[in-house]
Amino acid sequence: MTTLTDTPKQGFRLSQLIYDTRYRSITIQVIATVLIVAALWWLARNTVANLTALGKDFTLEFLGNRSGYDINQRLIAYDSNATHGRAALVGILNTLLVAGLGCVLATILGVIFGVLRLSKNWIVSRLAAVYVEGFRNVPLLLWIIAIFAVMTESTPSPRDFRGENPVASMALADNVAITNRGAYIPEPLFANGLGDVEIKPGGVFADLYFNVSIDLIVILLTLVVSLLVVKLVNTRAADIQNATGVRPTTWWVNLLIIVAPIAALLWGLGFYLGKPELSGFNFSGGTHLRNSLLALWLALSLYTGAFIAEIVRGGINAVSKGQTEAAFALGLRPNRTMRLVILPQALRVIIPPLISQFLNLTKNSSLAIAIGYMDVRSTLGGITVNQTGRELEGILLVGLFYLLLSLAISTGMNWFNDRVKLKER
Amino acid sequence: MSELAIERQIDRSHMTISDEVAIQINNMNKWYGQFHVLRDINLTVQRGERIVICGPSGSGKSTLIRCINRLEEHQSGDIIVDGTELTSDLKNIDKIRSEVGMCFQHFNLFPHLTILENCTLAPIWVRKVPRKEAEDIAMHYLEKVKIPDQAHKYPGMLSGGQQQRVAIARSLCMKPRIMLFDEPTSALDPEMIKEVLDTMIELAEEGMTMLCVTHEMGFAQAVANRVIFMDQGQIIEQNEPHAFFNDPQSDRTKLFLSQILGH
Amino acid sequence: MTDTAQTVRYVRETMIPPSEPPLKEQGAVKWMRENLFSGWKNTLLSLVSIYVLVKLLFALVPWFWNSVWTAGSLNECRETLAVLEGLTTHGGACFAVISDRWLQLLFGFYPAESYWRPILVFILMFVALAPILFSARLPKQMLWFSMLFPFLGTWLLWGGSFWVPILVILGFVVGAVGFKVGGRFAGAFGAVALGVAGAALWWMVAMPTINGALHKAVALSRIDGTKVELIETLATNPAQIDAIEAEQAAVQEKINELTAEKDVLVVEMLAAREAGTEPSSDQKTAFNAIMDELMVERRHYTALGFTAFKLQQAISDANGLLANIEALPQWEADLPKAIQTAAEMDAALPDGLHNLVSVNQVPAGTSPEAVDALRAYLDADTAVLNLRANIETAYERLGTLGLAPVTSRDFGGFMLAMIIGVAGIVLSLPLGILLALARQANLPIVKGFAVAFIEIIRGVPLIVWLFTASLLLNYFLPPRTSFDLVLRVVIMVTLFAAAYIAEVIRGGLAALPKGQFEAADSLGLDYWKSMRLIVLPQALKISIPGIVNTFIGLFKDTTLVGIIGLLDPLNLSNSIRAAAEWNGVYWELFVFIGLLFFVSCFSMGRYSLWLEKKLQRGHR
Repeated sequence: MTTLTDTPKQGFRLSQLIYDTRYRSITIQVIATVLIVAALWWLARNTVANLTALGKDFTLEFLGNRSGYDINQRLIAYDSNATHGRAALVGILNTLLVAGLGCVLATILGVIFGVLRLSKNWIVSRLAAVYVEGFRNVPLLLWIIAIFAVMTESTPSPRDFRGENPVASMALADNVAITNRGAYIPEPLFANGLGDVEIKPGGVFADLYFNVSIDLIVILLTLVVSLLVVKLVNTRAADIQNATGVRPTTWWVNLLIIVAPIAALLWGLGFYLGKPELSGFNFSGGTHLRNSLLALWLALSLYTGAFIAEIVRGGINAVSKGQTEAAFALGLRPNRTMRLVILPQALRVIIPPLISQFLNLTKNSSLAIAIGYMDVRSTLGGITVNQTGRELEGILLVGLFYLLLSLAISTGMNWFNDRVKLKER
Repeated sequence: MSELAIERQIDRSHMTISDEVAIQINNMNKWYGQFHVLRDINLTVQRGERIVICGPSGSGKSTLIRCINRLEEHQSGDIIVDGTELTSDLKNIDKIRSEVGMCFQHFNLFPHLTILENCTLAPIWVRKVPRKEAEDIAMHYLEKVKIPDQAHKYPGMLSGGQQQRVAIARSLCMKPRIMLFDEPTSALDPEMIKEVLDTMIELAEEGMTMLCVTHEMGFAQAVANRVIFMDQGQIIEQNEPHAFFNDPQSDRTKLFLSQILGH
Repeated sequence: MTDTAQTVRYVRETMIPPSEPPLKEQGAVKWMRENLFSGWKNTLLSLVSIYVLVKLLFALVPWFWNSVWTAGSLNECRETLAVLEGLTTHGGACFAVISDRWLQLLFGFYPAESYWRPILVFILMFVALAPILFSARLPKQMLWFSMLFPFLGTWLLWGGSFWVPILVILGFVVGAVGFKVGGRFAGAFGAVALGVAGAALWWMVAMPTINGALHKAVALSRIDGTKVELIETLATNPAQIDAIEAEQAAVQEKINELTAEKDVLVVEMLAAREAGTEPSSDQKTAFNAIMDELMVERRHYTALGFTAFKLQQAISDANGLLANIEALPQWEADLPKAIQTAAEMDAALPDGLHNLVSVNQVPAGTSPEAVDALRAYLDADTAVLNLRANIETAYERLGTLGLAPVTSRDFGGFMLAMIIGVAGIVLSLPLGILLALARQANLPIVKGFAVAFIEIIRGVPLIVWLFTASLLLNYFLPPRTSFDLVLRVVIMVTLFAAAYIAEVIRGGLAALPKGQFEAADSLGLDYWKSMRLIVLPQALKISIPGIVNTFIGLFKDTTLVGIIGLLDPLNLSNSIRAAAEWNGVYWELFVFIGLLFFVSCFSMGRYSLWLEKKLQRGHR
């Protein structure tokens, strides 16, 4: 054993590729790369062979062709004479719409039920538990179809609103009509509106034309400015608190700063609500929220809300009881304890899984197909694919869209998460 | 000094130091990123030596002994263990690791295996010893550390001192020629320190080559033939224990000794 | 203690016995005070909740309470509700649809005489899972059965010859032997290479050959007997079918009579209701009796129809098989000739046209003659393939020794959901473990590939992956390979689940203390040994709750396969609604399907919570 030798410094030997820790990792990575590239090449070669055998090629030109189908739910101008690319854009916007609405409502529901589930009130916490377990343990698709069925099967048709003695009547002081074709709600209108700007890019982006309401831009700008002023006021209040120990009451100033300019602006623009009205066999005027959108939105929110409720509950539970007791012992009242001690710590636990729930909701919005909501999977990945026979390109584009969206959401939220974390230290 | 005085009579008959070199470290350096943890370490350990390494926390003493079985990689200089140079050659690393036993501060027993399985695992899978034989060896060493009756329990059911003794037995089952101890008693309650130290003393009495990072100065005085003091990644002073404790030369050593022995 | 003047000496002489707390501090009153009415906010919440609860119960309870379980169609349900309870359509549930179709919702179109097979698999699954889920209490030897179960289960479900699963398992044995031998002569890389190559060679070359040979041997050994049986079947079955049809006619007669009788009764009872009186209890009893009898007769009718259908099927099967037996010698004689013709045509093709699978692939500028030659060769080649397939199928049908084969098309309902979910998780485990290890590894490129795979899979919705499986998978495979949709879905679901499982296991790996890795290293265990013996056993155990949760998610997501045309429970509910008698039944089906999912997912979720708590307590 003890052959005490100075190991001679040798040149490179082939066996070092495997046994030397420095080269071994390189060897493994090279082999892995070769194998994976070979596999990808094999897949690509098969795909090319299969495509040519079918007489197809790989091109995205079909996006510029006339689509020839209608989309009932749309946020931007579209008709069957528009291109497949435009149809895809309509679908993308619809996906974003329902995902955005869903994330907001799901968070609200989740926070409410998460807190209720922690309530000391027995019956409230039980009811919250029933909601959470009920929605979590039944497939989302079933909820979507069931909620859609409720909306189409057990609501009156517009016809029922007609006549001297109608079977159904409108809700909320004749402002909202809930029918089996969807809900009709008042729409915001402006008597002295400023009109629209048309945005018309050229070239490859020719399909990206859309109209922007100047009224909306002005309102948003005013709101942003108001919020900035509010922030300024609060900073000043904090300075005063730091200097004197007493925080001046600012809530009414804040309220005034936010409400007054907007109110003045709305008055100036001649804002009024356009009510939905029965004309013939259907409603006209107002905003028409289709059942497919409503059902998908509700189902996604209720389902994801149940998961978020569990996350919120877990997050609050994760902050140890000792923290509450320490805050109480320092004389902080329950509200302040929650705001200053519990929430900052709970948020750190809550936000990462919350992000993945938002991602799940966004991906789950692709179940829209089950009830005919025209999201990107139904337009680009559905009808367009069927009409053009471009399943490879279509599904690839849809997958790419979801992938980019997921990456964008998780990057954005991670950035926010890091900020929350930093604030804490 | 630690409360625990080493009272028993120590049998030094086997504690002979041969001329054979067990570990040779030449000009060894190590960095963590920009931080220079080990600076120009030179150390020769003869077979049969019992070396205690002490020093303030962050002085690099744990890193030094972890370099000896390549739990940490050194960046320059040579480490030769039992005639095998520690390079990035996996065969050498495997060979050295099976020759060198190590005990950790937190024992690191495998919680999903019984005590016996903990002890037989490496002999069976590394040394390719038949299971029956491995179990016999394991029982032999478990008897030596005085816990043969716990062989079929899981580590979680044992006290800290017992776990550390199992960890020692687990290392011994590989029949190592050198044993490394990384603060073996720091995570133990005071009443359990003695049982672990007793085991280590017994090991020393049998002539095992030992490198031990510890703050148990009683152990150092009783067992060690050399005490090494490290600070800021360097060996500041080394001497035989009597001289080291009674006549430290460097100011850093004096300060350190006054801090740990001074109350 | 200070001895001030105020201090008065005191010694207690009698002890105070414990007493009851005041009335408002005990029992139900205390409970309600504390849990429901502890402040005005709480009281308000409680009252609102109670109001909501009462509203809900008032809406739902009568619907369940008045439900109808014996009826042949939705109309009969409504009739029953109207005459017995005087209720409208929505007054009570029509669970008759469930009693009529529940087997279909559970098994899809799996042949009824083979229901025992999925049921047995379901039971065996628990036996196989038990040593994993309750590892502390069961002997480790049971794990051998867990490893056998996937093969046994697959064979039981799809049927076929008994040797097929054995041959598949032998592939693993070959792989293991290759691994051992390779490890001895060429180290770790050699071991993996030889192991994979051995197994692949076995499955792709040896196994089909042996399988074909076995089928052929069995087929030839009993071909004469089979022939006699088939002829017998052809001779006797038509008469049996006639007899059954006659009986069916009689039953139909009876049904018509009963229906007429019932209709009369319904008219009478409705007239009574119209007049404002409750129908007499005699009438109600009579109505119930008629309905019961009607159901019995209908079931009889269906059963007879089923038998007749089976006999009819046997006839067409026998015809097909006999034709096969007749044709076999000719096919076998033709095959060598066809092969030779194709080879000659291939040799005569101009350079650059070999290996093409379609005339669309010819390079530009090829002469029309060459294209024609290619077309002729391709036709000849297809003829060879068809001949081979014919011969193989014929021998397989004649030589199957084991369970009757069932095609994937007939799989459906909860059985399908379970199969896809369980197969997805079980198959994804090895891949998930590898991905998790790769993601943890100190190898940037390997890590990069693992991260890319995981993020791409997780970033895209399952439904898009399922469409990929149904529309695109055939593009990615070599030309002319295709396999059935269930298998394609299982492959896709496996890849999908692997990405999620990998993240779960990564969590388990991260939760292991670093000391475990170091201890394994210091004992001289190499990477794979320390993973296999030390790290993975612990990491996987910590990951079980996460794996169960992934399974719950996947199990619920199996409902999506309905969108690409498989018969999941929801899609089956659509096809049930498509039948004339159950057109318009929504809630009853939703309630039944939802309840089944709820019970299974909820109980699995509870198990995973329990395990998580247990692991937290038992963790060092």
